[in-house]
Amino acid sequence: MTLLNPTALYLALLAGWILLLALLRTKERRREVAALFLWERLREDPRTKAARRRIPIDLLLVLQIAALVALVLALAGPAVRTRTPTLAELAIVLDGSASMRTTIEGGTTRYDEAIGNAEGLILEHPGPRAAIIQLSSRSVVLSDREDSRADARAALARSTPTSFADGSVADLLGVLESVGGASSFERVVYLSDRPLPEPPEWLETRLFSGGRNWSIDAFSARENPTGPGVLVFLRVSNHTSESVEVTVRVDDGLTDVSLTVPLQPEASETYVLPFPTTRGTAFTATLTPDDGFPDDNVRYFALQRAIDLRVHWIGTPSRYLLAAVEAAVPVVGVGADEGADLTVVYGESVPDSIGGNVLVIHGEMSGIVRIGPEAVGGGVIALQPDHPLLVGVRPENLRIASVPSIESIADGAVVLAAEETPLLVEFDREDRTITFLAADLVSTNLPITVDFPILVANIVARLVRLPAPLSHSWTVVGEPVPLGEAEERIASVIHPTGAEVELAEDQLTFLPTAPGQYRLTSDRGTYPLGVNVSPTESATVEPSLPPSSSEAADGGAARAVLRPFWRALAGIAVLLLLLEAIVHAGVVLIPRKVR
Amino acid sequence: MRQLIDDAFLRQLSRLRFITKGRRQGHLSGTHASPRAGVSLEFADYRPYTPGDDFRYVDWNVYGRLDRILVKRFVHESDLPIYLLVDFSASMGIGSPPKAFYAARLAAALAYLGLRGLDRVGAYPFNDRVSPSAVPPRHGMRQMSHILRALLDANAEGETSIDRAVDELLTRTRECGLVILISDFLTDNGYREGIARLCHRGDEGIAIQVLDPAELHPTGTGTTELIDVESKRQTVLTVGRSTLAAYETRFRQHQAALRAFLLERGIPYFLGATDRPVVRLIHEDLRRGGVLK
Repeated sequence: MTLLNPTALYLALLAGWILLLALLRTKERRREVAALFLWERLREDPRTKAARRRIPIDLLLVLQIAALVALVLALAGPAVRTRTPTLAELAIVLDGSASMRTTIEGGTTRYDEAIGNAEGLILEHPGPRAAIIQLSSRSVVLSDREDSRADARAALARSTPTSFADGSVADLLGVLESVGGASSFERVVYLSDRPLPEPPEWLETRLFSGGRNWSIDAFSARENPTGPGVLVFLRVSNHTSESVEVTVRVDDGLTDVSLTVPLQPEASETYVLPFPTTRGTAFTATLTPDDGFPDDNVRYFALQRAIDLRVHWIGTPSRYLLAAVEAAVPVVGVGADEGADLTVVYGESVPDSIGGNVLVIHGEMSGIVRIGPEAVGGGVIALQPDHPLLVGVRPENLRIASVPSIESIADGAVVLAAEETPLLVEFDREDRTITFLAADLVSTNLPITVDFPILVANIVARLVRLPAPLSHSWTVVGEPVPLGEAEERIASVIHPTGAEVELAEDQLTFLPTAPGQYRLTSDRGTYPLGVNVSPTESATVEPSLPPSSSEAADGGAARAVLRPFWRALAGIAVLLLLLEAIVHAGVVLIPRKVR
Repeated sequence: MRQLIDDAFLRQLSRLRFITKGRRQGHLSGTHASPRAGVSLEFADYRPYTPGDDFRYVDWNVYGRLDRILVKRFVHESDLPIYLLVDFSASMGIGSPPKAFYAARLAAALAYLGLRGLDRVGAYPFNDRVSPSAVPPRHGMRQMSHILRALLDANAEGETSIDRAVDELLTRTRECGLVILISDFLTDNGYREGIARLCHRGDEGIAIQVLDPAELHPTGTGTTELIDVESKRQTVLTVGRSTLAAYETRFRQHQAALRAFLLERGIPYFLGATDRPVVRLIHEDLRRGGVLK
């Protein structure tokens, strides 16, 4: 018998509390005696000295302790190991993760070794059938339990390792469930280059190791925060017991940087490489010379840059305004019907056909604002100093030579005023936001102040919410990549080989099956995506078996199964508590006979 | 208090009478041999005729053969004073039934037997002294009612002092007799001097120790506050099975010492356990012990 939750046994300490209460509840008996002198002499008797204060054992106490014991044992999850009848069924679980592609001595791969071992298992197994499963982060059933031995062997021969990551115990249980459940198999053998973490007791594991490996463990790039260009980070590891000299080459598609470094046995080195003039977004790192597991010698990373802001200009745009908007975000001019993110109106009236968010400068808008003749301006006053539009802006630096009078204006938040005339107003409507700057820029000192680009950046940030085109800079093989929402849906995916991946109309994600630089295209543009073999596949394999594996390997015709029986104990505990309650009620309610 | 004796109880005691070991000199004629010569059916001796002797006691057959005139002498049979010394101290109130009730019932039975055997019987309830309701020995069945009244009126209270009670008995009575001491004898050492003085006067004694079964074989373990029912002294003791065994050993030693002391002085000892009927004690133990026949 074994306990699934042995820590619950600590609750048995409550028995001490029950005994203490019973001891404290015990009253001293009083007894009248005729010969006290006889009792008093007993004090010196060694047998009396040996007597200790004892807990009176009554039925209620015994029932309470018994109920507690049953309850604690139930919580401890007792289970008995039983032998299930022979089902003569074998499940072979092949590790199909990328690391199984590692070439070992003799030119074969770990996967080839596992295949050979699996064939041996099928031949030696007395049962007529065997299920074959390829386990990875994307597990598949290679051969169902209904298939014959010949079919199973053929499926084995056809199978190849994937570029996916290792599967988990949950993946294993899930895929076994699809072929009848783990308990329906007499024997489940896992053939891999590393044991599963916390494997189930019934799983027999056989390991296949070997092969040399050095790898790029980590690879990323980011904008240089202190200078121009991009900084590339990478970590290179040597998973062998020998020193090796490797060359790392980083390529952004236009230029490349190489360095040759010696790597100590079982050691890692981290490097930061600057790309000061790069205009590329897709970076590739390559490690040479080749080793047994080349998949982790190439890593891909895509740099995410800001999306161009599509602006529809009405009126002649001021150079200062254009520069300030472009300073805030990359801008591309579009027409009225090209799905602009923002409409900027300068010195004109906003047509009624214009929808969406609008920045109106020295212009008019029907139903919102109507301007009149110019009036003398002056200093600028912040009516709402804490408004988000004024973050980083100093209104006292601004001067207005002239400002148009306002003939009519709708309700809005007046942020700035020039001599009692509204200068900067934000109209927040249900479906749109309109920002109105009354003064002509040439009548102000705004273009020559540092506050102007800040103010414009604040306005753009308030008016435009740029969609995130892609949440991934890089991902691993087998990890689903979302295809985006309706506003900006990925229309096509280009495989590293140049082939286009077929996408269904209602497909929400796509699954990269091989490492490389993918290209994702939407109506807003094309985004690179680096897809790599999982870095966990590069880890050094220690050919050690978990304790349960050797036990499982000895399993002959029947497999041990743990059968918990906590329910029975819990039921006993409840019955004992009920009995205790009945006895207690009986003791209290039924008067004893008076002798 | 429950009735001490009834007709059915008395019927079971018929045909029994006390036996005395030696010849007791009583005041009145009775059924017990007296050291004096007297009128009875039991021949004792011859003596030469002297003028004035009753001619009816001259043995004419001896005169015919020896030519001497001898007068026959006979054993004088006198009555036996019986003193029932019954312990009514507080310790006798213990038990179920109380030892005092058992002792009173036993004393009543013995009194009935004594009176029925034409003896004078007196009852002396006592604790640390003889009760004022004590009844001096007298003849006749009318005395029975006095004795029963004295036994019924006595309450189990006070401390025990057999020594002092015996002293009072010796002071109140001048005639040697049969002293039946009924007590639990659960006193540390308070009976030796009294009994010794009793023997010194020449009284014949019988000791009947009345005990409750719970005193012989106590039960119940755990921490117990023990209270002396007479002195009210208290002590707290953790009683285990080994303690009970030790107590029984001590109790047996105490009984053995009492028995040895009594036998040393020729006083028969009887144990009257209250779970054993009084009639069985009388019929089996007292008859077998040569006290009754």
